[in-house]
Amino acid sequence: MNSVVEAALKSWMPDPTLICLMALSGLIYVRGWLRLRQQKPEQFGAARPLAFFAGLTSIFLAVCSPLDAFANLLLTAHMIQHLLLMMVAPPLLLFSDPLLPLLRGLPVKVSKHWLGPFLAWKTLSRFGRRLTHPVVCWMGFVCATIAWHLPPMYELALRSQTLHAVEHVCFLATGVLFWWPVIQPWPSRAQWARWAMIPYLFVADFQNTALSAFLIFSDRAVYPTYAAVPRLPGMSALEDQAAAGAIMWVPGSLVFLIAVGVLTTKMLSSRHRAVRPSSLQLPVLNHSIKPASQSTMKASRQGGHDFLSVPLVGAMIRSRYFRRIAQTVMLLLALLTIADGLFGHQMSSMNLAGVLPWTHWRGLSIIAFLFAGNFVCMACPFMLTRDLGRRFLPARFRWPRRLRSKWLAVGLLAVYLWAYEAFSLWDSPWFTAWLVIGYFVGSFVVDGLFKGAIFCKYICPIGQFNFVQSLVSPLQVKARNLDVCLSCTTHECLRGSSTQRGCELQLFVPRKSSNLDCTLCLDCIHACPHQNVGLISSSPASQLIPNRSRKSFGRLARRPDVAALALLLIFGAFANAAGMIAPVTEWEQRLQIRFDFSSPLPVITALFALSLLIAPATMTVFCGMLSKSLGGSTLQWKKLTSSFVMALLPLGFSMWVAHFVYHLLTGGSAIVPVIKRAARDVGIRLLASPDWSSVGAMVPVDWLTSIQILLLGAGLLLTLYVCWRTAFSFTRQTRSAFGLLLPWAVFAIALYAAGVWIVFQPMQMRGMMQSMM
Amino acid sequence: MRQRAKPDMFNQVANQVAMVMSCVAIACMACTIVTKADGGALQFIRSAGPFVIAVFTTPSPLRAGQVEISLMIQSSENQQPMLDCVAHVQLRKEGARSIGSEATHWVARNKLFYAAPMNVTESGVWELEVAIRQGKNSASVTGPITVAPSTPVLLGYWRSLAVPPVFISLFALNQWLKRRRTAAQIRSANTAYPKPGAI
Repeated sequence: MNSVVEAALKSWMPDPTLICLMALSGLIYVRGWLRLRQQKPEQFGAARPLAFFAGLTSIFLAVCSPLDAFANLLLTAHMIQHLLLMMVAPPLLLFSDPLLPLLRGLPVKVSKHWLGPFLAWKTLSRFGRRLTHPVVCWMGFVCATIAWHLPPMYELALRSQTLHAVEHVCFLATGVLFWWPVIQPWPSRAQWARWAMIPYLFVADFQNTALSAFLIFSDRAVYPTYAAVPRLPGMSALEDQAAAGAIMWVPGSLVFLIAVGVLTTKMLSSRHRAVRPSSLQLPVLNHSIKPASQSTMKASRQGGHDFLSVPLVGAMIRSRYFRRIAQTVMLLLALLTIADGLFGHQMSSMNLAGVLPWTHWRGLSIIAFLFAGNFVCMACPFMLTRDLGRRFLPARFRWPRRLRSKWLAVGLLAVYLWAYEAFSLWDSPWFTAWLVIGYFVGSFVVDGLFKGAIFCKYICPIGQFNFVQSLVSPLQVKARNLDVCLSCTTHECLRGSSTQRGCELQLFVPRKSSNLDCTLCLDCIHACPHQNVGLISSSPASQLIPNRSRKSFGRLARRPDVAALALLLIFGAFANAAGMIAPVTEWEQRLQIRFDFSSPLPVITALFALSLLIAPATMTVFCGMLSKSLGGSTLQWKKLTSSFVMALLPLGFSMWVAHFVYHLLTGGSAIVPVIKRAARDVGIRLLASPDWSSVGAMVPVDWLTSIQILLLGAGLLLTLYVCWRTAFSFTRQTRSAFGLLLPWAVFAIALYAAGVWIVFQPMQMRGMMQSMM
Repeated sequence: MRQRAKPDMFNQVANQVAMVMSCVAIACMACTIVTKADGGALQFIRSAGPFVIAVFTTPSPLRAGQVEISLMIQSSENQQPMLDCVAHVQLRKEGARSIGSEATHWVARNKLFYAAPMNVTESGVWELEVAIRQGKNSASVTGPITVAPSTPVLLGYWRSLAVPPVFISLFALNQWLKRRRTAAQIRSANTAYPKPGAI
């Protein structure tokens, strides 16, 4: 094949957005079609989904095929693109009768609670009726065609990618509108008689013919771009223009004429019957819409999919050996980290202790929280030393009652966050190694001496971080059917049995309603004799909505220690990220010089005290009191504050995700040369020499910034939603709920703005090769 | 013991998949569009030796920051695109660091082009030099390129920043419509069934 033709045919650019949207709409359509086919097989035959996917394919060909790549060089290619968007894709999509399948294909919650109010809105349906009036449709189509083919507009679209996309969307939208009254997708009602569509199509064809003729018979290039760009051999600009006009004329007119022929045939056919939309229960309009009310714990099957029932993966996780294997792997990695941290090259970006914990482990674990749950605690290697401690030490002491709260953990976590910055733990493999050793020693001693999982529950800073962040995770250990739990008298999930221990953190499964304190050890799942415990999926916000009694915590509003822990982690996310950006580091240096300190330690300590203690305390007290005042609530402001603080967790979580994922995507590739270097240091020469120049960002920086902003935006939206539900859990009156919500919403938006500002600042590439280059 | 209902696995999995795809679609839409190296604005066409070189740039207008420079190299004899050249582009400006990159088919979307992504640090008039080599033949051309100041940072990420306000607005409208409908239902229920003693 000619190399030029071959190169042209390779010029595809699949657009990830378009592919996702097409796949999503295809999935939704098929789901809805399968359901509707059972009720009305004559209306929803096999031709419908074929037409739908043919329509989507047309759009894909128009936008992602070489047609789009050559649109700037050849008017012919551009014209074929437009024909696909206006004359091929819309009729196919409308022929598939997409309205009901798309609606029935959505999850019931989405169609009922989210889309339902809009679909029942009379103003919107009146607007829709007017929009699909044949006159409006025809005018829109013709005006869009003529307007975008005027030379100034056409040139603008050629030069600007954004405008080009707008042009395509405009053509597709007006194409759908134009063909709406012609195809009349079921169950919409025709506003004109069917015979009126024949002159409708003929007049549209006239304008198409006129425009085509202008292009064909013009003696100059109408669009200067095509006159200026380099021409491919065998086709001058005028020839290209004439060919484009011919394509617009002949195939374009053919489509109109085919439509006229089909309509005429149907009208003349004796078998034609007017099809009235029969009554078909719509999931949205026939249900009364109730306002959000407090959720109550029902003795029934708990919704959500059990992750443990997924083939292969579920069985693997459920296996009694999976956890041990995961812990062993993590133990080996921890030992390698310690060894390299103590004896290896002390430049953090070239050492396992500088790269594995601070780049990979943090990044991958936060991603695990985002999509799954607390698999970090499940695979924790410190559990192995803990079990070892129980074997060798007499675990006979009881943990002091005064320390059975999260306050100790709050203090340790605050010290940890401060020490990370003050002693630049990220930059010291030696310090990092000793930190890991400290964790091993601590878990060995504490759980070897004290009964119960004390280290996990009250001490481990990493564990407290994991517990709190997992409140946003979609997976949760839950009972599958509460009726089964109600009939159970042995409670092995808590007490254990002769062969399997129960929950060491004293979480009673039927009353458990969140991931707080759950290490995902799955002991309860293995212990339950009824196999009634699973890893159930749930919507992320459900664990944070108050008025759920949490076993081993009592009412959350009475636990200021849990609220303090959450607050520390929320502000810690922003403080930890801010400590790395240029404006803050410069400010620290200026303060150090101004106060004549010999080291930055006093300045860092003061800033952390401000950001982790003073600012959070002040702002939450202020918001709590203001919330009580504006909402007219009779509750104590402390209870309100505790509840609303938990609602801020998604925003804090999103800041941690944005931060850790940034480091993972910019410095993650360093692991390869680091492993090679470490192997060579111990005499293993099987691997090639480390190539430090290969270390770099795995995605474009622009994408990273956009992803970070999106993550923060998602956190803000989830936080605002939980604040909303929290407010309505305290009162049913809208005005009062708004009063309760307002200070916290403003607070959340301020935090979001701070996060966005942090993301836009130049960030230190800590512990990464990029900082050395 | 009550038997558990069999979960509708297809629908459950479909829900999860749909949710992930929705998030990916929103993320892709909101991310800054990577400029497609399929041309853009024609800057200049120059002939040099056996080559005719057309230089395109995106975005349009060209702004400081990430840009794509695309080349179309044709034979001066028969206008055939030449696909086996080695092309190098260099941007120079007085007082600024020179930027260079090799232009390849790999980056270009239109495989007849050679494309080079570059990060232009400053606005102003830059001199673009294109050096071509094919076998024993080589040539270079130069031309001016005007780079406008970069868009304000916030404007550059408007898609990502617009997501929260859009969703908040839709949610507010959704809640308003729900409460209005509920109030209307209560009113119609009260009208249909008046309280005892009201008659």
